[in-house]
Amino acid sequence: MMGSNPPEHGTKPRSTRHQRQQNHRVVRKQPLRPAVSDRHNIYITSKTDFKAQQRRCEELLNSGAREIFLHCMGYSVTRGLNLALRLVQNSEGALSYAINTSTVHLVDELHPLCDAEDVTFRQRNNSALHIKIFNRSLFDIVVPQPSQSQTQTQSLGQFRGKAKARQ
Amino acid sequence: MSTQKLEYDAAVGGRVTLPSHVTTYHYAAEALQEIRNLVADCQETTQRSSKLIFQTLPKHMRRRAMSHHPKRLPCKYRQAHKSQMSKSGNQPVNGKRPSRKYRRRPKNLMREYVRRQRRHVWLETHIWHAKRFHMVDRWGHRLPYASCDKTYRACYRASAERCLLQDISFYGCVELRGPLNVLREGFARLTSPQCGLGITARTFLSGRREGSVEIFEDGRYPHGALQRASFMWRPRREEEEEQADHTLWLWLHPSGAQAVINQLLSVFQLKSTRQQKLPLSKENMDVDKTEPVELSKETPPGKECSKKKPEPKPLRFWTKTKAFDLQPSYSNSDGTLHLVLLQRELNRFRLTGPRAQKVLLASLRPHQEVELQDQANYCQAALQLSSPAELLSNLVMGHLVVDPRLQRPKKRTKADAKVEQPPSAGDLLVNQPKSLPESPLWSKEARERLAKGIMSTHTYDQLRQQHAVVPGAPCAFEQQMQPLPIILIQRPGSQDSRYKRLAYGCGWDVIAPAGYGMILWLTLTMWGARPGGLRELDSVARESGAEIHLPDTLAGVQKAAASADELRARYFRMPPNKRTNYRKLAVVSPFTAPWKQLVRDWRASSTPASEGSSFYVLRHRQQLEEIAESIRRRSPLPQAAPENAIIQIQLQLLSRGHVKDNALICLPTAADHKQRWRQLKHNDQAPVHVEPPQPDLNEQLRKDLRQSHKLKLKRLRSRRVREKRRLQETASKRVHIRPANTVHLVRAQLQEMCRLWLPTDPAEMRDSVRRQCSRQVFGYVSTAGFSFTEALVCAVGYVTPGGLQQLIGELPEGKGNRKQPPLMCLVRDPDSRDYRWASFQVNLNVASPAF
Repeated sequence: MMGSNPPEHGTKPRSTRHQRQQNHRVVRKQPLRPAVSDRHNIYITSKTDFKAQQRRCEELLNSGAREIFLHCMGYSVTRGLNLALRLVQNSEGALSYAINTSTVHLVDELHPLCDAEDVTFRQRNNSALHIKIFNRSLFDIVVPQPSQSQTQTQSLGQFRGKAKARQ
Repeated sequence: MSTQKLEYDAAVGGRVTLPSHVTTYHYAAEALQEIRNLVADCQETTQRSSKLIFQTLPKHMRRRAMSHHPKRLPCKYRQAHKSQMSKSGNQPVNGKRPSRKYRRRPKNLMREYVRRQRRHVWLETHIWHAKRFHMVDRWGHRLPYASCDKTYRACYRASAERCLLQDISFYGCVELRGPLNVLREGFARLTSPQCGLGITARTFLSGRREGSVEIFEDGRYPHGALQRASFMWRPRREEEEEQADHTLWLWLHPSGAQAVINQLLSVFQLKSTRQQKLPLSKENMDVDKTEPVELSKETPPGKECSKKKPEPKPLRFWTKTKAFDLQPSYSNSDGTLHLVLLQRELNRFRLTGPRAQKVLLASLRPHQEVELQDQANYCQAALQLSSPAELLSNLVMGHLVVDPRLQRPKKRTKADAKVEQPPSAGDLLVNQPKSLPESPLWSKEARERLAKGIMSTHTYDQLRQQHAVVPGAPCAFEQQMQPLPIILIQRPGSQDSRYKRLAYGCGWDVIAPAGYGMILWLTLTMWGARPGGLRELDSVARESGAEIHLPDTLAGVQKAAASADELRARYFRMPPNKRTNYRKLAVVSPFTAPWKQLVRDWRASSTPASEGSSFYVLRHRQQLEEIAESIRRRSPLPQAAPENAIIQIQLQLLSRGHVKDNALICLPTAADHKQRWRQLKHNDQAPVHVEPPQPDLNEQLRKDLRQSHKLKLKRLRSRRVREKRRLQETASKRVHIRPANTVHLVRAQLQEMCRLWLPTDPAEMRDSVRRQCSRQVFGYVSTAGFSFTEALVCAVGYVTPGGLQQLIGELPEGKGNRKQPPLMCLVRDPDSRDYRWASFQVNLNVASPAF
């Protein structure tokens, strides 16, 4: 499925295979996304073709986007890192990256297998990575932001679901 | 009666004498004659007699030039007279079509619509759809199939990224009301716990979630599947005691609705309340007639009986019959359990795709009311999430909104509101307010009140015209429009990321009361929802790797028969040199999948058992999981795998090739596996195996038959010509040739030819399906097509457990402990000789699908 891509190493998704003795079935929900999500926020999955993701990012950057964000979680962290490095490497010095880590709170539904039970929930955490890839062009005069740290916490907080106005 | 001939009317002046006695046998004989005459008269008026209608009238009712002027006939004969006249063809009785102006008058238009709805039920959005969609007759309804525009791919995009909107109001709602233990026992006979949770599971009983069950015929599980039905319980208030009645809505697909209702009636022993025998109480006998009607409405017959018992008087009954019942209702003998068919009482719209959130948020504004404040707050917060799949799966939300007409944008726009305060989805998932699923839609009175209080679009527009000073500005009267209660049901979409991408097919179902269908529909489409039809229901199901109608349910059998007929008709419409010769391709059943024969051929024990001719789809979740597990480990299947079952799988074609419906799923041989490695090495995309063409033994037969048939027709014609000439010699007038009358000959020839074209029926011979070609067939594809989510040709098919067993047994030895790729099989189109590789996965959620 992945074509000619090299195999990737990382933490594999936790299997639900060994929990069959219990009286519920784990149903995973779609990971939460921040309300503000446009084309510049790219969510990395391990199923999508790597080259397709790379092309998508390159097209975005070539079409004038100053910065894009790659969000990756759990198993796809390594893939996101690979992608970011590949993009920076292929750009011959025009791009640079900045990385933030965070923890995502996930809630799984435990569906009952017998009539007497109700749906219960399981909370777990997963590590996530937010990679900002930005253009480091010399001709682009970057006006320094009031405080660099504030934007970072903002982009971190944005994933946790707080309000953020787009700039 | 008397034999004397007398004046028929004493008033005219004749003398009438009455006989002193009548002989019985004379009387009987005369009565018999009279009855005969009556019967003959009745028959004469129908088309059986050779007389025309106006000739059958008694003499005193005949008028001059009656045959020319239908209006001289009595009114009830006019229609028959017209049709007789038009058949004889000597008179243009059908006048001109009325002018367009006349036809478009509201009254006449409405009459025409009512006339057209007699055969097929229309949805509320029918006229909107009929202008834009291809309409088909399905399941007693006239339904939109697909848009007249090319929207196949657009509808996929809408379902995956935006919002696809479908009207599924043809699903009928049945209300069941009764004590919980009765309902539980009854449904235990109709469903099976092996298919998943029962109808009275605790998680559904509170009304918080909608569930779905597979319904079978009474006690025939796993055979006799009827259909899958989704259901929801009426939420109960705290103060109600535990013994009170529970209410259940069962949403039935129209194809099997009648069968399910019949099963329910027989299981719960329900009787129609259309005709009731009510005891006549003493007061009723002498009091005037208005009272018993009112009394009978309120008191159930059971109670009345028990009240009357101590009295020694003989009971007298009167029968109440309702001529027409809008909502047929049934109840059991002691009046505890009630079943009401809520026909045309509710609309159900289906929104699919993550943008359904935005569309609903834009079109539904909560009505300001104090008591439902937390419900409204939750709904608003839930609709602000980025995808419906983030909420509790199958969540039911009641919502009271202002009239959707007030929420329309000026132009059709994409709903893309920026959200100010993104709510925390985790909290929304875990905690719902207690009052969330409550809705006034559950009560009959509220529905009736709603139906009365709808402001018609015409009135609304007129009021707007009067009151709106600035176009588009809100008016004062709009505050007074009645709020609309709706029920929103979340659909979780795919929940198994190994089978299909998470949350594909998620969305909302919206239940709105009757009369509001068009109003809500227009608002939703104005906010950018893309309307779809029946085709989109199928394609969304296929994209999620499942089927709506399994092949052993009523709808599935109907669908297979219909498509087989259509394919067969199309096949014989083609000229012979364009027809695929299925005998040469070694395809036994090209138009339909022969499940029964497939199961028969794979049955290990060669018993022609009583169950011999039936099959069923395996829905037992635990068995399916065991099978999937043994496939993953490449170990032999568990022994419990039943022989009559077929297992639903999803196939993906790995490289090239296309698959159509009814394709064959075959077992690869060891040579095929070797060939696969060779082809992988050389990057060769050719099919792994090509079926050697079989000789067609019927070819010469067909030729001979055709020759002899043509010769025969020719001979018959020349005989007729000769006969004509002979007659012409003696006749003085011109003689015409005798009509051919060879219809039966030609028809028999056609049938014989069709039989010779098609392969032999697989029912005749054992192993005719399994060993029909050079690879063993162990399954069939039921729906296939290109899947946009996978970017591959995908198909949904069914295989036999025996075939799976053999497939696993014949696999070549794997190398070490590597991760096993999905299992592979061969797939061949019925129109082709090429076998291609396809990988497949067992679908575990057969009984509770993801869409």
